[in-house]
Amino acid sequence: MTDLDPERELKALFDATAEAPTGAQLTKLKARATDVPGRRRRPLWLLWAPFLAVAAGFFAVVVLRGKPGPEQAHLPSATITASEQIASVVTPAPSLAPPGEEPAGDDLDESLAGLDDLDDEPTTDVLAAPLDDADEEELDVWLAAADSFLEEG
Amino acid sequence: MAQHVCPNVFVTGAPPSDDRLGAVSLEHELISRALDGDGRAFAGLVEPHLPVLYRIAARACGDRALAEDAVQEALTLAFERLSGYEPGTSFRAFLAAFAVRRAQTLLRGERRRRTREDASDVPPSLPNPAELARALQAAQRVRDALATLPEKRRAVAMLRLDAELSYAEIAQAVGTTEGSARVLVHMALKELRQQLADLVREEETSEER
Repeated sequence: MTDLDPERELKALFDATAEAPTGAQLTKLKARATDVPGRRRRPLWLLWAPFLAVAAGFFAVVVLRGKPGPEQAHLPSATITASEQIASVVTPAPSLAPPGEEPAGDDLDESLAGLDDLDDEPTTDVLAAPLDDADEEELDVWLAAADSFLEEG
Repeated sequence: MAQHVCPNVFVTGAPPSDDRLGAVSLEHELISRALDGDGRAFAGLVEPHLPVLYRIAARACGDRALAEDAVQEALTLAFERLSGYEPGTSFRAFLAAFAVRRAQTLLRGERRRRTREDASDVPPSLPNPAELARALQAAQRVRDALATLPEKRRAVAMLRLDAELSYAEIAQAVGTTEGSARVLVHMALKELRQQLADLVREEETSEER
């Protein structure tokens, strides 16, 4: 037996037991091959890009929060001044009718009748409630403080 | 003298013919277009070799889905290394080398997975005729015999018997000299012949009939 014989015999056996792709498989493989150039592997540094972006964002936040901005220095303080409190107390309630429109005649009577109905309902308007002595004294104190503030200012 | 080992493959020899020059220039053009991202060019480049690549992968893996994946991954690797391909050498050998490696790698992973999932690997029931069952058993015997060989001998056996590569092409594929490839093939075939003697005899008998 020559050296080529084992190869020939084995070749026949390998051919007999080989698996040939079907037409559908070949079509699928060809389609996958067509996609290969479009699916290049991402460079390694791109794998780290999301982590770098998060780290950069975190760093930026830390740096920006460390420095007070110019507008932050000029923000009004949270304490309410006496003049603001007074202004909030003496602000008149908005009128029921739109500005520039005067109810006239029968309309006025109907409006007043409606107000009579409202009298029966419990009200929560702070200004409508009569001031007691303590409130008046407190108001006087505030008014005096406001006057002195205006004079000094 | 030109050595024409298998279809479309010349290895070494005398001045190339016009057909050969035309094939090389077409191959060169397809490669440059593929490197520019032309998928059709790449598909055209590898299409003639897909049956061989699939045959190698199926031989190594013994599983169709796995073989398809191995071919696809081999094509991806081949594309990534395409700029390193030397025009004039065997493109089939270039591709087959990736197919063998990827198939063996995937098979190792699949074996590990199977070992973890199910130790009792019961052969699938075959509702097919007896001949098909015998053919499948023979294919499994061949795969088992190949599995007993060292990795390099296994690779050269498949490159020789399935891909029909010449010794020079096998040397190119596994990165060795032609003389070493010849020795590796000889040793691999000798071991296979010993293990598969009964199947070889059956095959000869059936061929004679």
